[in-house]
Amino acid sequence: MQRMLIVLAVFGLLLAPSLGSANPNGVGAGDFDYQCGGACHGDASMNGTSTANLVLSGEPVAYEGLFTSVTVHLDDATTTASGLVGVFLLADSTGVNDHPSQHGWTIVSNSAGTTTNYVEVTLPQGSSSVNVTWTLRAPAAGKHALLAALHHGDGTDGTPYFGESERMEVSVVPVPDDLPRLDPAFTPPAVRGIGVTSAVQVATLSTDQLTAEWRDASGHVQHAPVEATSEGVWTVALPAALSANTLEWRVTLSGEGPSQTSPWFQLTSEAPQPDIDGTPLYLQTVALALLSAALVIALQRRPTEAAPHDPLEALEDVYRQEVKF
Amino acid sequence: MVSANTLHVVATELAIGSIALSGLGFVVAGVSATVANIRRKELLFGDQVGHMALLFGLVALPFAILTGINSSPGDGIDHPLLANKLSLAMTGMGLGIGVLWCRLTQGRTVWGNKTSAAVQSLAGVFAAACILLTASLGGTYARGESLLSWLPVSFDSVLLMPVWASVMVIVLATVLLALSRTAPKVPLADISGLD
Repeated sequence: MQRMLIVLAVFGLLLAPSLGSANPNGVGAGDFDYQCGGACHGDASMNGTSTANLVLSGEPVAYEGLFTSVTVHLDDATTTASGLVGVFLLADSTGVNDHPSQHGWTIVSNSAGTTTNYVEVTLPQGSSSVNVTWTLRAPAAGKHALLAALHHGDGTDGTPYFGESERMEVSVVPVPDDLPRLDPAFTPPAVRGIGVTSAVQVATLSTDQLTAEWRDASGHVQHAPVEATSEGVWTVALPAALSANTLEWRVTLSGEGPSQTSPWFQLTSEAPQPDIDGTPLYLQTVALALLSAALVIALQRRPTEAAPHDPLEALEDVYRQEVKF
Repeated sequence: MVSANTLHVVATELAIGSIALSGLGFVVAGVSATVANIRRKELLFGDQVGHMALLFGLVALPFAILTGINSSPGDGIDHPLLANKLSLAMTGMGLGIGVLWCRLTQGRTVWGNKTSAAVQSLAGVFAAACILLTASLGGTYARGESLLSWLPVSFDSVLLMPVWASVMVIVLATVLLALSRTAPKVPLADISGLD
Protein backbone atom coordinates (compact mmCIF):
# COMPACT_ATOMS: atom_id res chain seq x y z
CA MET A 1 0.00 0.00 0.00
CA GLN A 2 2.84 2.35 0.90
CA ARG A 3 4.57 1.59 -2.41
CA MET A 4 1.37 2.34 -4.27
CA LEU A 5 1.10 5.70 -2.52
CA ILE A 6 4.69 6.53 -3.45
CA VAL A 7 4.09 5.60 -7.10
CA LEU A 8 0.93 7.71 -7.19
CA ALA A 9 2.75 10.64 -5.57
CA VAL A 10 5.55 10.42 -8.15
CA PHE A 11 2.99 10.33 -10.98
CA GLY A 12 1.27 13.34 -9.47
CA LEU A 13 4.51 15.29 -9.19
CA LEU A 14 5.40 14.44 -12.79
CA LEU A 15 2.09 15.83 -13.93
CA ALA A 16 2.16 18.89 -11.69
CA PRO A 17 4.35 21.11 -13.94
CA SER A 18 2.08 20.50 -16.92
CA LEU A 19 -1.13 20.98 -14.98
CA GLY A 20 0.20 24.17 -13.47
CA SER A 21 1.43 25.64 -16.71
CA ALA A 22 -1.52 27.93 -17.31
CA ASN A 23 -3.23 27.20 -20.61
CA PRO A 24 -0.73 25.97 -23.20
CA ASN A 25 -3.63 25.31 -25.53
CA GLY A 26 -5.33 28.61 -25.00
CA VAL A 27 -8.36 29.68 -23.06
CA GLY A 28 -10.75 30.09 -25.97
CA ALA A 29 -12.19 33.32 -27.33
CA GLY A 30 -13.42 35.81 -24.77
CA ASP A 31 -13.59 39.41 -23.62
CA PHE A 32 -10.39 40.32 -21.83
CA ASP A 33 -8.34 43.31 -20.77
CA TYR A 34 -4.72 43.74 -21.77
CA GLN A 35 -2.63 40.64 -20.86
CA CYS A 36 -5.70 39.01 -19.33
CA GLY A 37 -5.33 41.10 -16.18
CA GLY A 38 -2.68 39.06 -14.36
CA ALA A 39 -2.12 36.07 -16.65
CA CYS A 40 1.35 34.54 -16.98
CA HIS A 41 1.87 36.60 -20.16
CA GLY A 42 1.50 39.73 -18.05
CA ASP A 43 3.78 38.59 -15.22
CA ALA A 44 7.04 40.48 -15.56
CA SER A 45 8.90 37.81 -13.62
CA MET A 46 8.31 35.15 -16.21
CA ASN A 47 7.10 36.65 -19.49
CA GLY A 48 9.03 37.60 -22.59
CA THR A 49 8.53 40.11 -25.39
CA SER A 50 7.41 38.55 -28.65
CA THR A 51 9.54 39.10 -31.72
CA ALA A 52 6.47 38.97 -33.94
CA ASN A 53 5.43 42.03 -35.95
CA LEU A 54 1.94 43.16 -35.13
CA VAL A 55 0.31 45.80 -37.28
CA LEU A 56 -3.18 47.21 -36.83
CA SER A 57 -4.69 48.84 -39.90
CA GLY A 58 -8.04 50.32 -40.85
CA GLU A 59 -9.78 53.45 -42.06
CA PRO A 60 -8.44 56.50 -40.21
CA VAL A 61 -11.87 58.16 -40.38
CA ALA A 62 -15.17 56.60 -39.32
CA TYR A 63 -18.70 57.92 -39.07
CA GLU A 64 -20.33 58.13 -35.68
CA GLY A 65 -22.48 55.04 -35.02
CA LEU A 66 -21.62 53.46 -38.36
CA PHE A 67 -19.52 50.44 -39.15
CA THR A 68 -15.81 50.33 -39.72
CA SER A 69 -13.35 47.49 -39.75
CA VAL A 70 -9.80 47.05 -38.54
CA THR A 71 -7.37 44.27 -39.42
CA VAL A 72 -4.59 42.89 -37.25
CA HIS A 73 -1.74 41.59 -39.36
CA LEU A 74 0.62 39.25 -37.52
CA ASP A 75 3.95 38.39 -39.10
CA ASP A 76 7.17 36.57 -38.16
CA ALA A 77 5.48 34.79 -35.27
CA THR A 78 7.40 31.95 -33.61
CA THR A 79 4.93 30.10 -31.48
CA THR A 80 4.30 26.56 -30.28
CA ALA A 81 4.15 23.53 -32.56
CA SER A 82 0.37 23.86 -32.72
CA GLY A 83 0.72 27.40 -34.12
CA LEU A 84 -1.70 28.83 -31.58
CA VAL A 85 -1.71 32.61 -31.11
CA GLY A 86 -4.06 34.72 -29.03
CA VAL A 87 -4.89 38.12 -30.55
CA PHE A 88 -6.51 41.05 -28.70
CA LEU A 89 -8.20 44.16 -30.00
CA LEU A 90 -7.96 46.81 -27.30
CA ALA A 91 -8.64 50.47 -26.73
CA ASP A 92 -6.01 50.87 -24.01
CA SER A 93 -3.16 48.93 -22.42
CA THR A 94 -3.50 49.67 -18.72
CA GLY A 95 -4.84 46.23 -17.85
CA VAL A 96 -8.12 47.70 -16.62
CA ASN A 97 -11.07 48.78 -18.78
CA ASP A 98 -9.14 48.10 -21.97
CA HIS A 99 -12.01 46.49 -23.84
CA PRO A 100 -13.12 48.54 -26.87
CA SER A 101 -16.70 48.44 -25.61
CA GLN A 102 -15.58 50.38 -22.52
CA HIS A 103 -14.47 53.16 -24.86
CA GLY A 104 -17.66 53.38 -26.89
CA TRP A 105 -16.93 50.85 -29.61
CA THR A 106 -19.23 47.93 -30.32
CA ILE A 107 -17.76 44.73 -31.72
CA VAL A 108 -20.14 43.45 -34.38
CA SER A 109 -18.16 40.47 -35.63
CA ASN A 110 -14.67 39.20 -36.31
CA SER A 111 -13.06 36.81 -38.72
CA ALA A 112 -12.82 34.14 -36.03
CA GLY A 113 -16.60 34.01 -35.89
CA THR A 114 -17.12 35.60 -32.49
CA THR A 115 -18.04 39.02 -31.14
CA THR A 116 -15.23 39.03 -28.58
CA ASN A 117 -12.12 41.22 -28.41
CA TYR A 118 -9.83 38.21 -27.87
CA VAL A 119 -9.62 35.35 -30.33
CA GLU A 120 -7.29 32.43 -30.79
CA VAL A 121 -6.08 31.67 -34.26
CA THR A 122 -3.79 28.99 -35.59
CA LEU A 123 -1.01 29.89 -37.97
CA PRO A 124 -1.37 28.00 -41.24
CA GLN A 125 1.11 25.14 -41.64
CA GLY A 126 4.45 26.50 -42.82
CA SER A 127 3.41 30.11 -42.37
CA SER A 128 4.28 32.66 -39.71
CA SER A 129 1.63 35.24 -40.57
CA VAL A 130 -2.09 35.56 -40.15
CA ASN A 131 -4.77 38.27 -40.32
CA VAL A 132 -7.67 38.83 -37.96
CA THR A 133 -10.38 41.34 -38.87
CA TRP A 134 -12.84 43.01 -36.52
CA THR A 135 -15.93 44.89 -37.63
CA LEU A 136 -16.90 47.62 -35.18
CA ARG A 137 -19.58 50.23 -34.71
CA ALA A 138 -17.88 53.56 -34.16
CA PRO A 139 -18.32 55.48 -30.89
CA ALA A 140 -19.25 59.16 -30.46
CA ALA A 141 -17.44 61.78 -32.53
CA GLY A 142 -13.87 62.49 -31.50
CA LYS A 143 -10.42 60.92 -31.54
CA HIS A 144 -10.31 57.30 -30.46
CA ALA A 145 -7.39 54.91 -30.15
CA LEU A 146 -7.24 51.22 -30.91
CA LEU A 147 -4.35 48.80 -30.56
CA ALA A 148 -3.73 45.09 -30.94
CA ALA A 149 -1.88 42.72 -28.63
CA LEU A 150 -0.93 39.08 -28.76
CA HIS A 151 -0.06 36.17 -26.49
CA HIS A 152 1.77 33.02 -27.43
CA GLY A 153 4.32 30.48 -26.27
CA ASP A 154 7.24 29.08 -28.20
CA GLY A 155 7.15 25.45 -27.16
CA THR A 156 10.75 25.31 -25.88
CA ASP A 157 11.34 26.99 -22.54
CA GLY A 158 7.73 27.58 -21.55
CA THR A 159 8.08 31.36 -21.58
CA PRO A 160 4.73 33.14 -22.05
CA TYR A 161 5.27 35.81 -24.69
CA PHE A 162 3.32 38.99 -25.26
CA GLY A 163 3.43 41.78 -27.80
CA GLU A 164 1.48 44.83 -28.86
CA SER A 165 1.06 46.98 -31.95
CA GLU A 166 1.38 50.72 -32.43
CA ARG A 167 -1.73 52.63 -31.47
CA MET A 168 -4.03 53.56 -34.33
CA GLU A 169 -5.92 56.84 -34.08
CA VAL A 170 -9.41 56.84 -35.56
CA SER A 171 -11.18 60.12 -36.11
CA VAL A 172 -14.87 59.60 -35.65
CA VAL A 173 -16.88 62.34 -37.34
CA PRO A 174 -20.59 63.16 -37.32
CA VAL A 175 -22.68 61.66 -40.09
CA PRO A 176 -23.69 64.13 -42.87
CA ASP A 177 -27.46 64.36 -43.30
CA ASP A 178 -27.63 63.02 -46.84
CA LEU A 179 -25.02 60.33 -46.47
CA PRO A 180 -26.34 56.97 -47.70
CA ARG A 181 -25.79 54.74 -44.71
CA LEU A 182 -26.90 51.74 -42.77
CA ASP A 183 -29.52 52.38 -40.12
CA PRO A 184 -27.78 52.73 -36.72
CA ALA A 185 -30.21 50.11 -35.42
CA PHE A 186 -29.03 47.56 -37.98
CA THR A 187 -26.79 44.82 -36.62
CA PRO A 188 -25.47 42.27 -39.09
CA PRO A 189 -25.81 38.63 -38.04
CA ALA A 190 -22.52 37.08 -36.91
CA VAL A 191 -23.43 33.38 -36.72
CA ARG A 192 -25.78 31.08 -38.59
CA GLY A 193 -26.37 27.36 -39.01
CA ILE A 194 -24.88 25.12 -41.67
CA GLY A 195 -26.99 24.61 -44.78
CA VAL A 196 -29.09 27.70 -44.13
CA THR A 197 -29.54 30.33 -46.83
CA SER A 198 -29.45 33.72 -45.17
CA ALA A 199 -31.87 36.47 -46.13
CA VAL A 200 -30.44 39.44 -44.27
CA GLN A 201 -32.76 42.40 -43.76
CA VAL A 202 -30.66 45.53 -44.21
CA ALA A 203 -32.18 48.80 -42.97
CA THR A 204 -30.74 51.94 -44.56
CA LEU A 205 -31.10 55.73 -44.43
CA SER A 206 -30.87 58.20 -47.34
CA THR A 207 -30.27 55.30 -49.71
CA ASP A 208 -31.80 54.97 -53.18
CA GLN A 209 -29.94 51.91 -54.34
CA LEU A 210 -28.11 49.07 -52.64
CA THR A 211 -25.85 46.38 -54.06
CA ALA A 212 -24.22 43.54 -52.17
CA GLU A 213 -21.35 41.17 -52.66
CA TRP A 214 -19.83 38.30 -50.74
CA ARG A 215 -16.61 36.34 -50.66
CA ASP A 216 -15.38 33.12 -49.09
CA ALA A 217 -11.94 32.07 -47.88
CA SER A 218 -10.64 31.94 -51.46
CA GLY A 219 -11.18 35.70 -51.69
CA HIS A 220 -13.24 35.44 -54.89
CA VAL A 221 -15.90 38.17 -54.74
CA GLN A 222 -19.39 37.39 -56.05
CA HIS A 223 -22.55 39.43 -56.44
CA ALA A 224 -25.38 38.79 -53.96
CA PRO A 225 -29.02 39.23 -55.01
CA VAL A 226 -30.74 42.20 -53.38
CA GLU A 227 -34.46 42.89 -53.20
CA ALA A 228 -36.13 46.08 -51.96
CA THR A 229 -38.49 44.95 -49.22
CA SER A 230 -39.95 48.29 -48.18
CA GLU A 231 -38.92 51.93 -47.87
CA GLY A 232 -35.25 51.88 -46.87
CA VAL A 233 -35.23 48.13 -46.16
CA TRP A 234 -33.48 45.64 -48.41
CA THR A 235 -33.15 41.88 -48.37
CA VAL A 236 -29.71 40.49 -49.18
CA ALA A 237 -29.60 36.77 -50.03
CA LEU A 238 -26.41 35.03 -49.00
CA PRO A 239 -25.68 31.44 -50.07
CA ALA A 240 -25.80 28.56 -47.61
CA ALA A 241 -22.59 27.09 -46.25
CA LEU A 242 -22.09 23.34 -46.66
CA SER A 243 -19.57 23.16 -43.81
CA ALA A 244 -18.32 25.25 -40.92
CA ASN A 245 -16.70 28.35 -42.41
CA THR A 246 -16.78 32.13 -42.45
CA LEU A 247 -18.33 34.09 -45.28
CA GLU A 248 -17.80 37.84 -45.62
CA TRP A 249 -20.27 40.21 -47.21
CA ARG A 250 -20.67 43.95 -47.68
CA VAL A 251 -23.06 46.42 -49.25
CA THR A 252 -22.61 49.53 -51.34
CA LEU A 253 -25.15 52.27 -50.74
CA SER A 254 -25.98 54.99 -53.25
CA GLY A 255 -28.11 58.09 -52.85
CA GLU A 256 -27.94 61.86 -53.08
CA GLY A 257 -24.79 62.00 -50.99
CA PRO A 258 -21.51 60.25 -51.79
CA SER A 259 -21.78 56.47 -52.20
CA GLN A 260 -20.63 54.42 -49.26
CA THR A 261 -19.28 50.90 -49.05
CA SER A 262 -19.63 49.12 -45.74
CA PRO A 263 -16.79 47.12 -44.25
CA TRP A 264 -16.79 43.37 -44.76
CA PHE A 265 -19.15 41.73 -42.30
CA GLN A 266 -18.16 38.27 -41.13
CA LEU A 267 -20.86 35.62 -41.03
CA THR A 268 -19.73 32.33 -39.50
CA SER A 269 -21.55 29.08 -40.17
CA GLU A 270 -21.35 26.49 -37.46
CA ALA A 271 -23.30 23.54 -36.20
CA PRO A 272 -25.48 24.49 -33.23
CA GLN A 273 -23.74 23.62 -29.98
CA PRO A 274 -25.82 22.42 -27.07
CA ASP A 275 -25.56 24.30 -23.84
CA ILE A 276 -24.17 21.57 -21.59
CA ASP A 277 -24.51 22.19 -17.89
CA GLY A 278 -21.45 20.80 -16.09
CA THR A 279 -22.93 19.81 -12.73
CA PRO A 280 -25.67 17.41 -13.97
CA LEU A 281 -23.17 15.91 -16.41
CA TYR A 282 -20.51 15.28 -13.77
CA LEU A 283 -23.13 13.89 -11.40
CA GLN A 284 -24.44 11.60 -14.15
CA THR A 285 -20.97 10.27 -14.94
CA VAL A 286 -20.34 9.51 -11.27
CA ALA A 287 -23.73 7.78 -11.13
CA LEU A 288 -22.93 5.72 -14.24
CA ALA A 289 -19.54 4.67 -12.86
CA LEU A 290 -20.99 3.67 -9.48
CA LEU A 291 -23.92 1.81 -11.05
CA SER A 292 -21.65 -0.09 -13.46
CA ALA A 293 -19.34 -1.18 -10.65
CA ALA A 294 -22.27 -2.04 -8.36
CA LEU A 295 -24.01 -4.13 -11.02
CA VAL A 296 -20.92 -6.24 -11.71
CA ILE A 297 -20.22 -6.75 -8.01
CA ALA A 298 -23.86 -7.55 -7.22
CA LEU A 299 -24.10 -10.03 -10.09
CA GLN A 300 -20.96 -11.81 -8.93
CA ARG A 301 -22.19 -11.85 -5.34
CA ARG A 302 -25.53 -13.44 -6.16
CA PRO A 303 -26.40 -16.79 -4.61
CA THR A 304 -25.19 -19.71 -6.73
CA GLU A 305 -26.37 -23.24 -7.28
CA ALA A 306 -23.10 -24.80 -6.23
CA ALA A 307 -20.22 -24.04 -3.91
CA PRO A 308 -17.65 -21.69 -5.45
CA HIS A 309 -14.66 -23.49 -6.78
CA ASP A 310 -11.40 -22.64 -8.47
CA PRO A 311 -11.34 -24.16 -11.96
CA LEU A 312 -7.59 -23.68 -12.12
CA GLU A 313 -6.86 -25.48 -8.91
CA ALA A 314 -6.01 -28.71 -10.67
CA LEU A 315 -3.80 -27.03 -13.20
CA GLU A 316 -0.42 -28.60 -12.72
CA ASP A 317 1.86 -27.34 -15.40
CA VAL A 318 4.75 -25.02 -15.75
CA TYR A 319 2.54 -21.93 -16.09
CA ARG A 320 0.93 -22.52 -12.72
CA GLN A 321 4.28 -22.64 -10.98
CA GLU A 322 5.80 -19.69 -12.76
CA VAL A 323 2.89 -17.28 -12.80
CA LYS A 324 0.90 -16.53 -9.71
CA PHE A 325 -1.80 -13.90 -9.35
CA MET B 1 8.68 21.56 -20.94
CA VAL B 2 6.54 18.69 -22.14
CA SER B 3 3.17 20.02 -23.24
CA ALA B 4 -0.15 18.63 -22.09
CA ASN B 5 -0.77 17.44 -25.66
CA THR B 6 2.29 15.19 -25.59
CA LEU B 7 1.51 13.90 -22.11
CA HIS B 8 -2.04 13.20 -23.24
CA VAL B 9 -0.82 11.15 -26.18
CA VAL B 10 1.55 9.16 -23.91
CA ALA B 11 -1.08 8.56 -21.23
CA THR B 12 -3.72 7.65 -23.82
CA GLU B 13 -1.44 5.18 -25.58
CA LEU B 14 -0.61 3.52 -22.26
CA ALA B 15 -4.25 3.32 -21.22
CA ILE B 16 -5.68 2.25 -24.57
CA GLY B 17 -2.97 -0.28 -25.32
CA SER B 18 -3.41 -1.94 -21.95
CA ILE B 19 -7.17 -1.93 -22.10
CA ALA B 20 -7.28 -3.32 -25.63
CA LEU B 21 -5.05 -6.15 -24.41
CA SER B 22 -7.28 -6.70 -21.40
CA GLY B 23 -10.33 -6.93 -23.69
CA LEU B 24 -8.59 -9.68 -25.63
CA GLY B 25 -7.68 -11.40 -22.36
CA PHE B 26 -11.28 -11.39 -21.19
CA VAL B 27 -12.47 -12.83 -24.51
CA VAL B 28 -9.95 -15.66 -24.23
CA ALA B 29 -10.79 -16.28 -20.57
CA GLY B 30 -14.53 -16.12 -21.18
CA VAL B 31 -14.44 -18.58 -24.07
CA SER B 32 -12.05 -20.88 -22.22
CA ALA B 33 -14.24 -20.95 -19.11
CA THR B 34 -17.57 -21.44 -20.83
CA VAL B 35 -16.77 -24.09 -23.43
CA ALA B 36 -17.80 -27.65 -22.63
CA ASN B 37 -14.35 -28.69 -21.48
CA ILE B 38 -12.59 -25.89 -19.69
CA ARG B 39 -9.32 -25.04 -21.38
CA ARG B 40 -7.34 -24.32 -18.25
CA LYS B 41 -4.11 -23.03 -19.76
CA GLU B 42 -5.94 -20.47 -21.91
CA LEU B 43 -8.13 -19.54 -18.97
CA LEU B 44 -5.06 -18.96 -16.81
CA PHE B 45 -3.48 -16.68 -19.39
CA GLY B 46 -6.74 -14.87 -20.17
CA ASP B 47 -7.46 -14.36 -16.49
CA GLN B 48 -4.05 -12.95 -15.65
CA VAL B 49 -3.54 -10.88 -18.80
CA GLY B 50 -7.09 -9.51 -18.72
CA HIS B 51 -7.02 -8.42 -15.09
CA MET B 52 -3.45 -7.13 -14.97
CA ALA B 53 -3.79 -5.17 -18.21
CA LEU B 54 -7.10 -3.75 -17.02
CA LEU B 55 -5.52 -2.70 -13.71
CA PHE B 56 -2.68 -0.94 -15.50
CA GLY B 57 -5.08 0.69 -17.95
CA LEU B 58 -7.26 1.98 -15.13
CA VAL B 59 -4.21 3.48 -13.41
CA ALA B 60 -3.21 5.26 -16.62
CA LEU B 61 -6.74 6.39 -17.47
CA PRO B 62 -7.06 9.27 -14.94
CA PHE B 63 -3.81 10.73 -16.26
CA ALA B 64 -5.18 10.49 -19.79
CA ILE B 65 -8.35 12.29 -18.68
CA LEU B 66 -6.47 15.00 -16.75
CA THR B 67 -4.02 15.74 -19.55
CA GLY B 68 -6.88 15.61 -22.05
CA ILE B 69 -8.79 18.28 -20.17
CA ASN B 70 -5.61 20.36 -19.88
CA SER B 71 -4.84 20.08 -23.58
CA SER B 72 -8.27 21.03 -24.87
CA PRO B 73 -8.94 24.71 -25.56
CA GLY B 74 -11.37 26.68 -23.45
CA ASP B 75 -12.77 25.57 -20.16
CA GLY B 76 -15.52 23.14 -19.38
CA ILE B 77 -17.22 20.67 -21.66
CA ASP B 78 -18.73 22.53 -24.57
CA HIS B 79 -19.11 19.81 -27.18
CA PRO B 80 -21.42 16.77 -27.25
CA LEU B 81 -18.51 14.49 -28.13
CA LEU B 82 -16.64 15.56 -25.00
CA ALA B 83 -19.70 14.97 -22.81
CA ASN B 84 -20.20 11.52 -24.31
CA LYS B 85 -16.49 10.77 -23.94
CA LEU B 86 -16.71 11.53 -20.24
CA SER B 87 -19.82 9.37 -19.77
CA LEU B 88 -18.33 6.44 -21.66
CA ALA B 89 -14.98 6.66 -19.88
CA MET B 90 -16.61 6.73 -16.45
CA THR B 91 -18.91 3.82 -17.33
CA GLY B 92 -15.88 1.86 -18.51
CA MET B 93 -13.99 2.75 -15.36
CA GLY B 94 -16.93 1.63 -13.23
CA LEU B 95 -17.18 -1.70 -15.01
CA GLY B 96 -13.42 -2.17 -14.79
CA ILE B 97 -13.32 -1.41 -11.08
CA GLY B 98 -16.21 -3.84 -10.51
CA VAL B 99 -14.43 -6.58 -12.45
CA LEU B 100 -11.17 -6.07 -10.59
CA TRP B 101 -12.91 -5.88 -7.21
CA CYS B 102 -14.67 -9.21 -7.83
CA ARG B 103 -11.43 -10.84 -8.95
CA LEU B 104 -9.55 -9.54 -5.91
CA THR B 105 -12.20 -10.51 -3.38
CA GLN B 106 -13.36 -13.79 -4.88
CA GLY B 107 -10.17 -14.99 -6.51
CA ARG B 108 -10.34 -17.44 -9.37
CA THR B 109 -13.75 -18.67 -8.26
CA VAL B 110 -15.19 -15.98 -10.56
CA TRP B 111 -14.48 -18.50 -13.31
CA GLY B 112 -16.03 -21.32 -11.23
CA ASN B 113 -19.31 -21.64 -13.15
CA LYS B 114 -20.46 -20.59 -16.57
CA THR B 115 -22.76 -17.78 -15.46
CA SER B 116 -20.16 -16.21 -13.22
CA ALA B 117 -17.50 -16.59 -15.90
CA ALA B 118 -19.79 -15.04 -18.48
CA VAL B 119 -20.50 -12.05 -16.19
CA GLN B 120 -16.80 -11.54 -15.49
CA SER B 121 -15.66 -11.81 -19.09
CA LEU B 122 -18.56 -9.80 -20.55
CA ALA B 123 -18.10 -7.03 -17.98
CA GLY B 124 -14.39 -6.95 -18.79
CA VAL B 125 -15.05 -6.84 -22.52
CA PHE B 126 -17.67 -4.09 -22.12
CA ALA B 127 -15.28 -2.08 -19.94
CA ALA B 128 -12.64 -2.32 -22.67
CA ALA B 129 -15.20 -1.50 -25.37
CA CYS B 130 -16.41 1.61 -23.54
CA ILE B 131 -12.88 2.94 -23.14
CA LEU B 132 -11.86 2.11 -26.71
CA LEU B 133 -14.98 3.90 -27.91
CA THR B 134 -13.97 6.85 -25.73
CA ALA B 135 -10.61 6.97 -27.48
CA SER B 136 -12.35 6.72 -30.83
CA LEU B 137 -14.49 9.73 -29.95
CA GLY B 138 -11.28 11.60 -29.12
CA GLY B 139 -10.10 10.94 -32.66
CA THR B 140 -13.42 12.13 -34.05
CA TYR B 141 -13.21 15.30 -31.96
CA ALA B 142 -9.59 16.12 -32.85
CA ARG B 143 -9.41 14.94 -36.45
CA GLY B 144 -12.99 14.48 -37.57
CA GLU B 145 -12.55 10.77 -38.16
CA SER B 146 -11.65 7.58 -36.31
CA LEU B 147 -11.39 3.85 -36.89
CA LEU B 148 -14.84 3.35 -35.38
CA SER B 149 -16.59 6.05 -37.44
CA TRP B 150 -18.45 3.30 -39.29
CA LEU B 151 -20.43 2.35 -36.18
CA PRO B 152 -24.12 3.20 -36.66
CA VAL B 153 -24.18 5.24 -33.45
CA SER B 154 -24.28 9.01 -33.29
CA PHE B 155 -22.63 10.84 -30.43
CA ASP B 156 -23.67 14.29 -31.63
CA SER B 157 -26.34 14.55 -28.94
CA VAL B 158 -26.06 14.18 -25.19
CA LEU B 159 -28.42 12.15 -23.04
CA LEU B 160 -28.46 14.04 -19.78
CA MET B 161 -30.44 12.83 -16.78
CA PRO B 162 -31.92 15.39 -14.40
CA VAL B 163 -30.00 15.85 -11.17
CA TRP B 164 -32.61 14.02 -9.09
CA ALA B 165 -32.37 10.96 -11.35
CA SER B 166 -28.58 10.90 -11.04
CA VAL B 167 -28.86 11.16 -7.26
CA MET B 168 -31.33 8.26 -7.26
CA VAL B 169 -28.95 6.15 -9.36
CA ILE B 170 -26.11 6.94 -6.96
CA VAL B 171 -28.27 5.94 -3.99
CA LEU B 172 -29.34 2.73 -5.77
CA ALA B 173 -25.74 1.88 -6.61
CA THR B 174 -24.64 2.55 -3.04
CA VAL B 175 -27.40 0.30 -1.68
CA LEU B 176 -26.41 -2.42 -4.14
CA LEU B 177 -22.77 -2.13 -3.07
CA ALA B 178 -23.71 -2.21 0.61
CA LEU B 179 -25.90 -5.29 0.15
CA SER B 180 -23.20 -7.00 -1.88
CA ARG B 181 -20.68 -6.31 0.88
CA THR B 182 -22.88 -7.68 3.64
CA ALA B 183 -23.97 -10.74 1.68
CA PRO B 184 -20.92 -12.83 0.85
CA LYS B 185 -21.29 -15.28 -1.97
CA VAL B 186 -22.65 -18.57 -0.69
CA PRO B 187 -24.21 -21.57 -2.40
CA LEU B 188 -28.00 -21.62 -2.71
CA ALA B 189 -28.01 -24.83 -0.72
CA ASP B 190 -26.67 -23.01 2.33
CA ILE B 191 -29.29 -20.27 2.02
CA SER B 192 -32.11 -22.78 1.76
CA GLY B 193 -30.80 -24.45 4.91
CA LEU B 194 -31.47 -21.32 6.95
CA ASP B 195 -35.19 -21.78 7.00
